[in-house]
Amino acid sequence: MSENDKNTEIHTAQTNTEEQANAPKESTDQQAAQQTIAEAGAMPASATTAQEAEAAGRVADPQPTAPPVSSTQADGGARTVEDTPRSERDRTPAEKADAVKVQSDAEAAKAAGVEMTKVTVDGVEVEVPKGTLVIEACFRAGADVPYFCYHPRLTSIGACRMCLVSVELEMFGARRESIFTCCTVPVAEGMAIKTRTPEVKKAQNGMLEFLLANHPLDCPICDRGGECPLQNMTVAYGPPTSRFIEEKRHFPKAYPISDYVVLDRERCIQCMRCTRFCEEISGDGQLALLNRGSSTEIGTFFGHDFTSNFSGNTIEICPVGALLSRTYRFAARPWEISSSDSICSKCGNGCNVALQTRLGELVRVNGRTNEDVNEEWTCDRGKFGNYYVNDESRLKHPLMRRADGALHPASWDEALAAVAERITRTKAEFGADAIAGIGSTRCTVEDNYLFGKMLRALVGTNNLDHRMLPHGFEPMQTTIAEIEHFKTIVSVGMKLDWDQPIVYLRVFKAYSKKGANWIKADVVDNTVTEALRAGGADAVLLLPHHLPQDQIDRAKKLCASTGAKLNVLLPDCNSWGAARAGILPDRLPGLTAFREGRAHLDSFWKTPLPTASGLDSDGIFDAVSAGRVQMLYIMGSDPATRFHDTEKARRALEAAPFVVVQELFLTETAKRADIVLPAASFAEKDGTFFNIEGREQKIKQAMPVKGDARPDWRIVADLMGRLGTPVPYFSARDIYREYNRSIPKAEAVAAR
Amino acid sequence: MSDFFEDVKQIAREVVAPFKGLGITFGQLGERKTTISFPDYRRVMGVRARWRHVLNRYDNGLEKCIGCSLCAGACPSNAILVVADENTDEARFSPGERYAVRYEINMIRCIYCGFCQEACPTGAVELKDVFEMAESTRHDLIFTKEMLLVPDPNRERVD
Repeated sequence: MSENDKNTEIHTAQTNTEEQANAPKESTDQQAAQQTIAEAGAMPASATTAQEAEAAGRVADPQPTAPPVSSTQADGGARTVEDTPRSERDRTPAEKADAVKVQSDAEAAKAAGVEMTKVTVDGVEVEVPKGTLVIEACFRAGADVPYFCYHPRLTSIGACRMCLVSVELEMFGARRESIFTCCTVPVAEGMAIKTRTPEVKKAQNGMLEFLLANHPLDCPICDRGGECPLQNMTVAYGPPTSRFIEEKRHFPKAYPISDYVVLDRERCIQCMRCTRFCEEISGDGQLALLNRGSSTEIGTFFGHDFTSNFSGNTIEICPVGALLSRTYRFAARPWEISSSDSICSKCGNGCNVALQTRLGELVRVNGRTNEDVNEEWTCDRGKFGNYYVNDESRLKHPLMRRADGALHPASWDEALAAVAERITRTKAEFGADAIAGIGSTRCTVEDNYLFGKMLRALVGTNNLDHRMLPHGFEPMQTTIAEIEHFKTIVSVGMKLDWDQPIVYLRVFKAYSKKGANWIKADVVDNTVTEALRAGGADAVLLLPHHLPQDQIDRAKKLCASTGAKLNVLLPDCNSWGAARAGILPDRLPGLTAFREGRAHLDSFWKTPLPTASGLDSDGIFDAVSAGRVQMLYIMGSDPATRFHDTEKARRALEAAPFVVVQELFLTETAKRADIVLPAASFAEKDGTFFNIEGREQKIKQAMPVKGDARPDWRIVADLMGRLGTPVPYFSARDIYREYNRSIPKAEAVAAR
Repeated sequence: MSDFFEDVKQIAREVVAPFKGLGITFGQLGERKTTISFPDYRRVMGVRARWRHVLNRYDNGLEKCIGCSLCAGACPSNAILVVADENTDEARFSPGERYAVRYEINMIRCIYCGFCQEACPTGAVELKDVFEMAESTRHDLIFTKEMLLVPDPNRERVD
């Protein structure tokens, strides 16, 4: 042994003694400590290190002072550094903050009576709740462990064997150390976990070599390239080269397993994240592992389509490029994308998504984590349905009906002047109530608020509604996250995983993981009654918005008598927001009753509001057909196809002397309009959505506006200017502030 | 006295000087010229000359470029735009699944560092000895894929 090696050993001895002094169960006896060190020192005596030590010895003999250039030395040195907890000065601010958080979390857990286990990770002592997986303890201590199959929301199965760490534990009367997958093992008292020893490094190298034995190196054409965990882990933990020279496994590339998902079986590393997702989270179990051994592959049952409504999530959790999106296929590389945090526009659940755009086009929608709403999942409708914002058939210019009876492109100036002139004329000739407005459940709160303000304060009518069904507004009585805690869940009249996907995920979680009863019924009948009676206060009833009013009334009565919670699930991304913005004939912003809020708004808007409450959407269409309403202003709504009585809506639209429509597309309603104003989609404007539980969430502009379209609030603001009231709105935020102030104070507190 | 001879010497030097200079000029007449008559003659570039990019093809005529965008990622001046699409059996541009449907290099942005060539996994983009790039507008200096691609060796040239 050279002098240097001896020095190293002594150094190791010192640090190990220090470490053991911290460990409570260890004897501080110098003799015992040195014995342990001797064992520890013998540990890395695997074939290579032994050889290298020998080589080092040979080199060291003639020149005892020369530093031996061997990995033994380097490893020994590295080991001493790594096993020592770093001093407070060496830590980055982020690490210090983490340490403080770990400490405070541990104290909070202790205060809450959670049983804690004390373990050491790379010399850092952490306390974690009993039963925590070793991998989570490692992350908690700030150590980095590579993994592929582990996912905090899925069962740990140790399929990829990547998260190997060395664990030292008192077992059968001796302190033993071995390497195992840390995602499958819960912590035990006194565990000493090491994530960076030479043995662990060697094991990680070996695992990556195995994983890459069959994984094709077509990263340049793989959509996952650039954000691929396998790429990252190979760079961080893998060997530089592989010893496998054999031909890799081959399957047909890019095999489409559904309309949205394409499967590349060559790239699959059999981590089973997708199959576990399908079994445990979405509950449809449509993906499975087929065959055995090296011919294992992911597939669907008998090659059927992967029809799950949550298939997009498997793309996101796949740690390689095996499951890929067909809509995103070759559309961009991850480093070329600009991503904006937004809210999905496809249903009322209000999933937090990231809209990812390139060259002014939406290329991908990824889920964002929000534990209160969507956890991290999205449904396929949200993931693949938002591409309508790219559609070429979107309106790009204002359209006006000319003398020949057809819609022709016009300039904004011309179109807005015509609308303003018509409003003024209609008001002068027939009175303010001859004008009616229909707001939208798909526009933001800001759009709707300003629309309501224009019609109420400037035009002076209360003929204002957004509802396509003749129902009252029924807020949800629980939040989405609370649904998973109920013991009895009754869903009526809907295909929950398609109509309310995120609510479905909560219900399935309650049903599969928490032992809840889940009763599905078509109508509110005796089965529902019995189930709710049996469930008592621990039951929740989920109703679709489109159920007949008598059913909803019956359910309401039923829930009131049994103490169950009633959730009427609204359909659109801002169904609640449209109501909150006051787009109802008898409600003002903040859902204030007209009589109560009028005084406040009279002074706030500086205009006396109309006194009588107006017509609802049914009444508006009746009045149009009867000739009492002369002008219809429709913002972002399509009553010609979505109104509960489409015939009535179409008749009214045709009978109306003048119809203005703000829309994204030339819908059935827009085709019957006299002036069509192109609006910006949710991806092209800022704003606020309220989801079905009344949660207020912001959307952000992700891409430039298509063509000459404008955000709805800007169109309305321009029109307000032309009607004689210049408005000081420069952004959606200005309107949002005003909207907040327009709600009477007490109501703002009491609401929701 | 001495001043007088000095003056004579000076005059003699000044008389001789132009002839000396012209002597060099006329002496050069016999030497090889450094300049060349450019449009008629082109200088042979060094083997490592880094001028304009070209997009190479395989011998069978398929494009080497697979549209992976790594060149665009490596480009320090953000001069490259790649838009990829999927090959089909009917319309095959490159081997494998992916090809570049648009490949544009902004030659005035480009700093001719050759990082794109280094990043290219298939050797598709190369900075070659094509240096004639003068154009009258900026827009004309955005080279498209058609301008960058070398001619297909299996296809007869029509021009």
